[in-house]
Amino acid sequence: MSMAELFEELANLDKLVHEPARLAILTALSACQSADFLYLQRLTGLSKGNLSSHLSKLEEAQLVHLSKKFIGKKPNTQVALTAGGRTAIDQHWQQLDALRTNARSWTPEE
Amino acid sequence: MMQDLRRVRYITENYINLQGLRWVFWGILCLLVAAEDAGLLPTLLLFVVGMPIGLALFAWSGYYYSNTYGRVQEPGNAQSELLRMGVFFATALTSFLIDRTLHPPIYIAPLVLAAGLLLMHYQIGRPYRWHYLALAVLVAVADIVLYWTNPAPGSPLSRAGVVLWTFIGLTFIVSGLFDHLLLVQAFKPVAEDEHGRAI
Repeated sequence: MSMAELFEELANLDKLVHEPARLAILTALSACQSADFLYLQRLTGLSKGNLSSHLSKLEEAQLVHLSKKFIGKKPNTQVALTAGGRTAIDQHWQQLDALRTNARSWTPEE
Repeated sequence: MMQDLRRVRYITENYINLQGLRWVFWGILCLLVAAEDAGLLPTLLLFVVGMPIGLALFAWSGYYYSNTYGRVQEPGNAQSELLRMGVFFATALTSFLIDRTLHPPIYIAPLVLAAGLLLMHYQIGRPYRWHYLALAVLVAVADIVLYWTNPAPGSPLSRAGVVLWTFIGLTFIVSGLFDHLLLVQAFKPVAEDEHGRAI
C-alpha cells in the first residue's frame, strides 16, 4: 500500500466518531449497556458543557440514545449506544486496526 | 491515545469488579470471624453487631461509587447481577451459621466464599481477573488441607481456622484496596467550564 493510499484511508475515517473525546465516549459505551452522565464525565475528564455538547452531536447523528430519569430526588441521564452507534464504533475500530497494520507493513518505495 | 482508549474500555468493562471497597469491608468481616475463632470476640457480638455493620458498609460502598463516579449498566440483566450478589451473601452467611452451630468436619464457609469469588468475577466473554481466581483456589485448598490434617484440639494446627480467616480477610483487604486505587487513578479530574464554575 502506498503512502497516498494510507492517507486516503486516514481521510476516510468518520470525523464525528474519530474526534478523541467522542471516540472515548463511544468506546466506553461499547463496553457496557449504558452509562450515566457522571460516569462519562469522570472517565473523560470533560467539563459538563463539553460533554453535553459532544453527546448532543452523537445524539443528532443517532449514534447514542439519551434517557433522563430521577434516582431519588436527583436527575440522572443515562446514555446508551444505538444499534447504529454500535455498528459505527465497531467499524471505526476495524478501520483503525487495518490502518495500523498497513502503516506497520509500509516500506518506502524505491 | 490508543492506550487511553484501552483504559476507558477496561475500566468500563470491569467497573463493578473494580469497586474494591466492597471487598475491603468483606475482608474486615473475615478478620472479625478470625477474632471470634480465636476467642477474642464473643460470637453473639459478631452476629448481632459485626455482621450487620459489615454488610451495611458493603452496601454503602456501592452507593459511594455510584454517587462519586457514576453508574454503569453492564451487558445482560442488571437484576441478575443483584440477584447473584444477594444469593452469594445469603449463602455465605448461611454456611457460616452452619459452621458455627453444627460444627461440620470441614469448614463450609470458605468453600462457599471460594465458589462465590469464582462466580462473582466470572462474566462470559470478559477476561478473568486472575488474582481472584488465585484467591479462590488458595482458600479452597487451605480449607481442604485443614480438613485432611484434622488437627487435634490444643495442637498448633487447631488454630488453623484463625489463620485461614485472617489470611482470607487480609487478602480481601489488599486486593480490594488495589482495585480501588486502580479505579480511582483511572478517573480524571473533571474540567471546569469556561466561566470557571466547577462541575
